[in-house]
Amino acid sequence: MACRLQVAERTVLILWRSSNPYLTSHRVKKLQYPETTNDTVKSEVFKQIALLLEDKSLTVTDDMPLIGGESILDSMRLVELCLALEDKAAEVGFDFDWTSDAAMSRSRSMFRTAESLATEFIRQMKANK
Amino acid sequence: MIIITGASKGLGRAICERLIGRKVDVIGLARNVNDLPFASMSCDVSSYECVKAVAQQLKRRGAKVDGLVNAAGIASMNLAVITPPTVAQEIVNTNLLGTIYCCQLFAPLMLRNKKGSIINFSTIAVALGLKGESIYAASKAGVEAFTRSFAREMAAFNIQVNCLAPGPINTSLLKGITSEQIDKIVSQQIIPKQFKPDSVADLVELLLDSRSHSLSGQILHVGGA
Repeated sequence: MACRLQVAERTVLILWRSSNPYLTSHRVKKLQYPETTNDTVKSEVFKQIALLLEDKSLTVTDDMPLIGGESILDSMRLVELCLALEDKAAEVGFDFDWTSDAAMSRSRSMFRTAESLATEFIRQMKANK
Repeated sequence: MIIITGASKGLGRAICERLIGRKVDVIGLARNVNDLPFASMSCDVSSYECVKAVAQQLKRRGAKVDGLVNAAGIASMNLAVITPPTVAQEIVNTNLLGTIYCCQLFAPLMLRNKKGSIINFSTIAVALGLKGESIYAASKAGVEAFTRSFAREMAAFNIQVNCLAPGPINTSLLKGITSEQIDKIVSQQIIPKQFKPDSVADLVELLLDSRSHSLSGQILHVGGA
């Protein structure tokens, strides 16, 4: 368990490194683990959503809608979320595409829920590895 | 950096040269950039994938984009009933979809900075409903409508979106139009005078300047209409 936690923490460090200029890409490469847990990435996607919530008392859940009438993010924050995820994706070496045909379809959109966004992010990450 | 489409000739080229003359960092986009004497990238704006590839390259290079001038455009002056569907599609794909694609894909390069100016191009043919320009005018009317709505979408990010709608400016786009036809159009402008590319470049400079930050979603008619 302790080992798993340590792996998760280090993976977070690699995937979601801060903008610290001293953390060079070389160092990131050296730290990289061969496998990334989906849960770790998902929790970081949720973290990015949480950072944009106006009501900080809310907890991001799997079924939290990101588009539509019940969305917890307005359109500006949704764009900011996309930009944040695009930056995170760039840090680990892939382009997060948030303009796909399925992006805004209510039934298929990656923005249907927090979970569907995390799932799509993970799918694109794996597809680009 | 300012991205300018249609940079190889006409208004796009004139705007590139004006801004470069003012020491502005410019990247010109055009289908053929072989002989361009300034920084440029090949790009067919009617291809979403092509525009996306350019946007990705600029992003990877860490380009700081402050503005976008969508000057790429084509025209074919004919009655709609004798215009082949391929020509109609080409006009809409380049003028309307090309503008939309560039806005969609280059705006994110400005969103992070919460600052920027986008300048689209329409034509006096929209305001005057000119005979023989119905498809061209329709494509540009779409650009005007897109400009107004997109300006609202970008306002929260401090990005201004405006549209210049010139009358007949002496560029290759006027090929095939007689001087009598040009005079007739010019006579319908509020200022009945044929303007030159320099006048358009003046307005581009104005809209790129931070002093025009209060203007967005506007259609500015060169010569007045």
